[in-house]
Amino acid sequence: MKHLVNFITLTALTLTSFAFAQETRQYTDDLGRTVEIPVIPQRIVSVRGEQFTAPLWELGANIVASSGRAREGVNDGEPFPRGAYDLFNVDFRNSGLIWVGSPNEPDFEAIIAAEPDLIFIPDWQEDLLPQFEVIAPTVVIAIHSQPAMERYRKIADAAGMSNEFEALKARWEARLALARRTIEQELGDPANVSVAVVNTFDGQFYIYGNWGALSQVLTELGFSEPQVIAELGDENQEFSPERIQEVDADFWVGLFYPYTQTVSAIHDNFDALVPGWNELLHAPRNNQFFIINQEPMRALSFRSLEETLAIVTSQIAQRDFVPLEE
Amino acid sequence: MWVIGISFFPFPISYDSFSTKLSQTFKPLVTSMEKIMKKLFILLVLTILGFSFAQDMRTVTDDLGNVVEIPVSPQRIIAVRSDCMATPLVELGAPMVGAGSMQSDNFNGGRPFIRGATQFYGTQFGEGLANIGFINEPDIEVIASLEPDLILIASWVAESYDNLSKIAPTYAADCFGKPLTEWLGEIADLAGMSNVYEAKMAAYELKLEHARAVLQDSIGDPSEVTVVFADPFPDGIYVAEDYGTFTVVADALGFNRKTMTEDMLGDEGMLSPELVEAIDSDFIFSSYQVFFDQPASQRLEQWQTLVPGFDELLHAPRNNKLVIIDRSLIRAFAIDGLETMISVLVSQVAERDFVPLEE
Repeated sequence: MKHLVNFITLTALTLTSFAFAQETRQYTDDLGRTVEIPVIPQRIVSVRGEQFTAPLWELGANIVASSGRAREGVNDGEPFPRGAYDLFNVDFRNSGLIWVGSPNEPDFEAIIAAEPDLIFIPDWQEDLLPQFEVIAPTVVIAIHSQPAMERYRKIADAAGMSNEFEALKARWEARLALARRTIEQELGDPANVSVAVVNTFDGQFYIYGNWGALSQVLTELGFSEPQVIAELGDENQEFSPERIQEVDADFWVGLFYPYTQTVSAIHDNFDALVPGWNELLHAPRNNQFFIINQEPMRALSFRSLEETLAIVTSQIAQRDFVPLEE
Repeated sequence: MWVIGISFFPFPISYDSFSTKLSQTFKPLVTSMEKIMKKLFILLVLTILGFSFAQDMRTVTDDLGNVVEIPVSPQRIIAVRSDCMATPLVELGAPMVGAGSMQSDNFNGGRPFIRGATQFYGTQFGEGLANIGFINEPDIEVIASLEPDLILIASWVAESYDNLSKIAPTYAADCFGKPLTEWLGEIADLAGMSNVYEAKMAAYELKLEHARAVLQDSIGDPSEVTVVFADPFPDGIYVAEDYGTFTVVADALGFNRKTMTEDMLGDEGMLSPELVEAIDSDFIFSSYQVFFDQPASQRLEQWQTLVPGFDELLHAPRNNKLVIIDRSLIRAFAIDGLETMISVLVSQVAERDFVPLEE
């Protein structure tokens, strides 16, 4: 009889072991902290939509809660996780995710109620770390100080989804290879085509050395930049409108935040900033200034890279354009 | 009822063998204990394996009128046709064990590929996904060796239907003859993955909603923008009545999509080059095919050969609004393809200025 009891007990434990006792491992986060985290986290909480919720959702990780913000006129005024909503239609009504407050004011009671076994926070919330740590193992990810792909790889690793990350990366690289082939066939050396990422708001003009998936795609494809932007490296900078001609290029790419801006408003902003800009500058003069929706673009994900790649390839390599003569 | 083999138990599993092992191990136990063990065994197996052990079946009628009993949740699907069958199954994450292939020296390093899925998802044959032969000539022996529980074939190449249906339930579909989103919903249903389809379609609808807002701001009424899909061929111009993601998205966004009436088309359904001005539009979309070694510039040459001076004659190419897209996007049997087509069309039409065609 004792044997029988042992057999049944052993069988039950073998079959359900993962549910009872999570295997853990040591993980070193971007603050250099060593954190003991589950090998396969089952209840992940993200406190940043476009940086964590979007990639975790794309990976199919076990995310149970996310921060989100509410904005009138968007998602019926209900909160939504930035980026993940725009890209994957994820909100707190259709996904099963629990809302844990806004990204900048996380609701700690809601996070506790979500019973997380892993929490992701951005490096700029380091000061809140003690409050997160007492709830569950907390991993800090550096957002702006490392390449997006490296950031994504670390998130996937901590979430126990490295295999899924590699599969998505292979898919992205397949599309990238096809786009590079098209560009080589149509344009020859992509470095001969210059592209500037620019924007204007609040009466200022900005140039961008690094703006999310857009800059990653432009870099991967090998386009060049006007010198003043190339010198920025990965920085973004306010730039004098009086020097706007230094930013002229074969193509300009602008961005609009769809919940407060429109494409036409961006044009209006440029009209106000530099009257006659669209005659003065080559790219807008030749309808080679295109403006893209920044919300799906900025969500850390392969899907945003793929969508941005399709837009950039179609605008630059799948139609004729008037080259800028230096 | 179809029964799937169980491979993850360390011993051959059947109730008899399991019972014998138990009897030998626990000889002193009384008969009542054996009864308890029987119940425990059944309970354990049913609990652990659930529906996957014994598949629930349902009856469907395919596009050739065959009444087929298929699993509710197939676990080993073979898609003989790669573009319209394997590709959506890859997108859905369906359990596909084999797919038909194509091969070209100009693509995928000369290795066999899954048309659509390889371009769009980077899918390769290998562990877990077998090449079952050319899309229109499936290898029956290979298919049988894969032990499928559902085989999907194109209804227009159904010569092998009888042989295939002896291996597993076989469904013949006219996947090119149906509206794209309808077929994507149908194959998701066949794969038992309608929930995934519904979720992805909801994301597509949200993206359409956002795109319409951009169009309203930039151009006002989208029906004032004329678009056409046209491809040049040696014997004339193919003007699409209905072509993949392009027409689905262009129509959903409300563009004025130009098509030709039958009396304008020749015997082969092509528009004569002499009538090319009939397609003049704000935007002309055309396509190139990677695995035919047919880059966009070659297609442009084809246009020039067919209609000398074409890029000055027509408004769209004259104003850099002839957009020549990878055909794998236009023919993408995937909701992801619809979403990407939204990005491309909205970017071209509403997110940059353009010189409008004055009628």
